[in-house]
Amino acid sequence: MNRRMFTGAAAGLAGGAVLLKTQVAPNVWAKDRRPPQSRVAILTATAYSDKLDQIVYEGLRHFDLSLRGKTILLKPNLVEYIPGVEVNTNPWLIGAAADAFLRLGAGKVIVGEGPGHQRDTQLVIVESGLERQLKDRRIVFVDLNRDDLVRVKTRSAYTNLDELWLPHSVVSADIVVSMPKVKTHHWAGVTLSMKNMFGIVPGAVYGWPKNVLHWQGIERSILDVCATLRPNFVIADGIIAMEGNGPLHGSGRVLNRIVLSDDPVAADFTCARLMGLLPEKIYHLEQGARFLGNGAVEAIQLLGESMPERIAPFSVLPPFKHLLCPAT
Amino acid sequence: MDRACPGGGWNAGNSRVFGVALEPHIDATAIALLALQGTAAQNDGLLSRSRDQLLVRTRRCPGASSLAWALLALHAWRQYSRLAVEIAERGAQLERLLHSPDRIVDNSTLAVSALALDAVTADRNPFEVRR
Repeated sequence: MNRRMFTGAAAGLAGGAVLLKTQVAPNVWAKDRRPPQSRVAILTATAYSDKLDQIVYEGLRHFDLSLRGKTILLKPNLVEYIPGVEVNTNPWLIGAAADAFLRLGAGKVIVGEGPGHQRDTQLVIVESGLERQLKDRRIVFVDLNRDDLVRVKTRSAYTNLDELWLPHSVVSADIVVSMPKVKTHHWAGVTLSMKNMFGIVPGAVYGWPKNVLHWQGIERSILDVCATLRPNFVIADGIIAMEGNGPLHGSGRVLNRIVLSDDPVAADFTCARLMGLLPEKIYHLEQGARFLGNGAVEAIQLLGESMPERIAPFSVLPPFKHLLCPAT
Repeated sequence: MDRACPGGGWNAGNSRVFGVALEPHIDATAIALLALQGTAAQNDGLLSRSRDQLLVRTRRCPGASSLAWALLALHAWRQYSRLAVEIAERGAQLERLLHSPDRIVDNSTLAVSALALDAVTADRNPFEVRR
């Protein structure tokens, strides 16, 4: 039991039966959903352009997914637009993913996001350049901050939230694809496919910037959100990533990679390793690897390229120096 | 007032994180300015900087909701005469956006846009504090 769990247990004992579930390690409340083996494809991509269409298409073919007639919801990371800074999942990659899923037989692809900072979702869509991709490729966008709602019981107990109100478009999709921007994060260490799922939680219920989740603890909320609605697939934008003071004010870092996976935990462990960080020291990843997906190298099958031999670690803020790989 | 961004205006949360000043948002700034009508004497510098932020950030604003909130705030502060031209320009801007249906994505955007245009054309701002 680590310090966090011990603190939670102590609070539970003091609070009586109402807080009973905090007396035990939270992950025992979650069903173990780790597959025997997870698959990850690391793909080289050096620019945001229409060449991504073929790269993503070929990458997806490695996974031999059953897509015929299915509804795919792409969940990119759109925070807010800052001119000249690669904050958001690049629209070219979102467009390429939509195109690839349709080419592989998907019945319908929609893009959904509920920005955590900006209430004016339309403003972010237009300023980020996503509107152009949506129009050109005739893709429907759903504002997850204001979609119809479905009440869903949480499937782990890292927070005190017994249920979450989630967007109907997400809950009813056959396949939810988390499409994070690979970035450091000044509270959670990294923001990858799991942290990206914060954006499915509707601002209309939980406020901006998803206040309720912040009060419950960001890392704990990430785990409960992902346990409750585990993304089925990941396409991570690491072509130009962000290091330092992410997720908004860091520096661009050219990584020239996109990462595909059928397991969000495996995707995030792999991305963290590509960033030169130690994923097992990132709380929500370490906990996620206990029940939600695979983090161990031996449980991750690499379908695309191998890990680079030498990795220059991403710069991190001082509180996260312990995440840096000692020697890479 | 202690949540204001260093250069004026407000956003959805903190004004600084790890020593870095965060940027204001149009809608949050506009709503704060509407709420702070009548407090100019005490906080004139901050409110003036915040109005300037609104003007700069809405010059080519493609978001109808943000633009409508900004218009309501600028209209409520129209006693500052230099705002008159800017208000008219933003009103025309908003009207142009309303002709593009895919920019009006929800009822709250439609409603606040209607209120903003009504404020400008009929000089009737529901958020204005009259004395």
